[in-house]
Amino acid sequence: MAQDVAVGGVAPLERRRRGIRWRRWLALSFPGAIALTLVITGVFADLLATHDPNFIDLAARLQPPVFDGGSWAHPLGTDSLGRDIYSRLLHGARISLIVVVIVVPGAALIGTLVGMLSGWMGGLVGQVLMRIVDVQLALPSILFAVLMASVFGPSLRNVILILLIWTWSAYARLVRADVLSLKERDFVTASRSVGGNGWWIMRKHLLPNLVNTIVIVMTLEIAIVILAEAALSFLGVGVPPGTSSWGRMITDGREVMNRAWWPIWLPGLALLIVSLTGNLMGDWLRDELDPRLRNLR
Amino acid sequence: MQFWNFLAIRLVQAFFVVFIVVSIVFFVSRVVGHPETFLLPQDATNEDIELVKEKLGLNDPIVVQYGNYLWELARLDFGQSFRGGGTSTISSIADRSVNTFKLGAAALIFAVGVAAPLGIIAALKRGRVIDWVARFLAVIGQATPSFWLGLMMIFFFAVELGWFPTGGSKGFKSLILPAISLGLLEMAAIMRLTRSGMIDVMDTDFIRTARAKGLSERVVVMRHGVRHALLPVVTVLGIGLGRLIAGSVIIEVVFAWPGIGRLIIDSIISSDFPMVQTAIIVLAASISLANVVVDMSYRLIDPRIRAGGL
Repeated sequence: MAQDVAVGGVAPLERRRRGIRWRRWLALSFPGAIALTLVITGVFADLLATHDPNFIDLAARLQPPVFDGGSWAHPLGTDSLGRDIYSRLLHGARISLIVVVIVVPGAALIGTLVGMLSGWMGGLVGQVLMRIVDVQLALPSILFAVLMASVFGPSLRNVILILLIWTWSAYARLVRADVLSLKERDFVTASRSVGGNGWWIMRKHLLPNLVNTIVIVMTLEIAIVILAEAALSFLGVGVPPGTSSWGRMITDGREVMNRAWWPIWLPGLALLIVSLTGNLMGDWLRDELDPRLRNLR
Repeated sequence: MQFWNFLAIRLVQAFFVVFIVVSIVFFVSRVVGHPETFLLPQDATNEDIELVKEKLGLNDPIVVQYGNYLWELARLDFGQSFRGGGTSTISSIADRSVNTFKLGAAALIFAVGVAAPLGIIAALKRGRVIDWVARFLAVIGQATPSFWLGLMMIFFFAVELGWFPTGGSKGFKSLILPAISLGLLEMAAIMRLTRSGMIDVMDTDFIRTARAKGLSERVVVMRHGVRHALLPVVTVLGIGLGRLIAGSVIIEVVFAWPGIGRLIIDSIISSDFPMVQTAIIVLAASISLANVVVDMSYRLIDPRIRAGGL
């Protein structure tokens, strides 16, 4: 198995890599720091927030941020209802974090299972499973999301469900493609010849070879999931009104766009920075683990 | 012959996919939702409700309703809208689809038109300023929320500078901002693909051969390099089309663009289920067909796949 995994030309590559390793780690430090900040702000939003994110104070409407003539009472200003933007951003980070923590591993699990089964079994089962992937691709998820939200009403649970449906097929297609080529390899034949059954081979021989792909896609999906949640919330079919999500903040900021820049700029920038971070980390992992996935997105 | 076999298989698969979409949409909106409650005032009596349900056939067993629905679809009868005095859903959608198509096409032209040349130049001038600019654009383009970008552009270019209209679909000028917001993500994806494809191609033996036999650099790049580098772009166009259509929903809302996406959102808000169903079916069918076309054109472009059979 070791011979199978090791590809030709590894030794010089190893040497070249080790020489500039510190630079590679340095490249991770910037997105890594931001990711860490996001996690901390999301987890400790209650402690770090200076105000109740939904506390309406009409007397303090549209206060500018402190660096644009505002006061420290509202460091990043207030929105059109006088809610503290700093606190809302923190709680918005929590929503994004919750969504990512549930959706990304969940979609990876479903996608990997479907991809492995359809790649391994082939035949009718494989065909049917891949057509389900096609259905997912043909049904614009955002439309399905809007339909679901109109039927069930907007809620965080629905957002998570919809995003699971939205993202699992990305894993399924890649895993299937990998399994199709892996199952022709000698170590699979060898395992089968000594009596390994399908489940054993999938778990012990295929999965370890798929982990890199899955981890890379998971990292790249973080940004997609966060942006998708924001888009749904922006359309009014995401988290319910009153929840402070970045997408909703942008909707609110849109109304007063002509009068105040901060209510729409700040959540937008937060989204941009976070999704940038996700993409940079994904790119970094991909270059480290599996450069042949370069064309993934 | 193989080509036609493959086309037939793909068409059958596409039909199957659309059928599943139809079923999903039917069950989500009929079984889970209650269309009759949206047609009646809040204080409607039970008798009124029964009457409307009877008229809409909602009292039949669900299988019968499903059968009726499929039968109507088979006769290309897509039903009437709940709003606007019962206009036929399919004709409203046909009217709107022109706008969605225009927007999608403009976004695609923008994406490929910017990404392909920039990606190729970046690959040829690796490590130079233009390469850094291209890669920066790709990274930013992939991370920017399209709807936020749209709003920002409305603010700067339409409200502040007054160069473009803030929304609507009057004339060519109104197409530019929505097309850029919609196409940016695709542009980033295509640029990365073109750049890395071009870098790979320029390292291959046949490029060295082409140079060795004395071809000018221009011919080497255009004739031998670009053709190979753009090949994978065709494959991502399939997935890209789906993404463009999905993305157009939100962009149409931002720019008040009268396309199918906004029609769906409006219809959902007013619980116009027949309209929603038909629109989703039409979109799913278009995406599936577009994917078949992309698959087939890929086979026509790349002789290696043709030779390799299925």
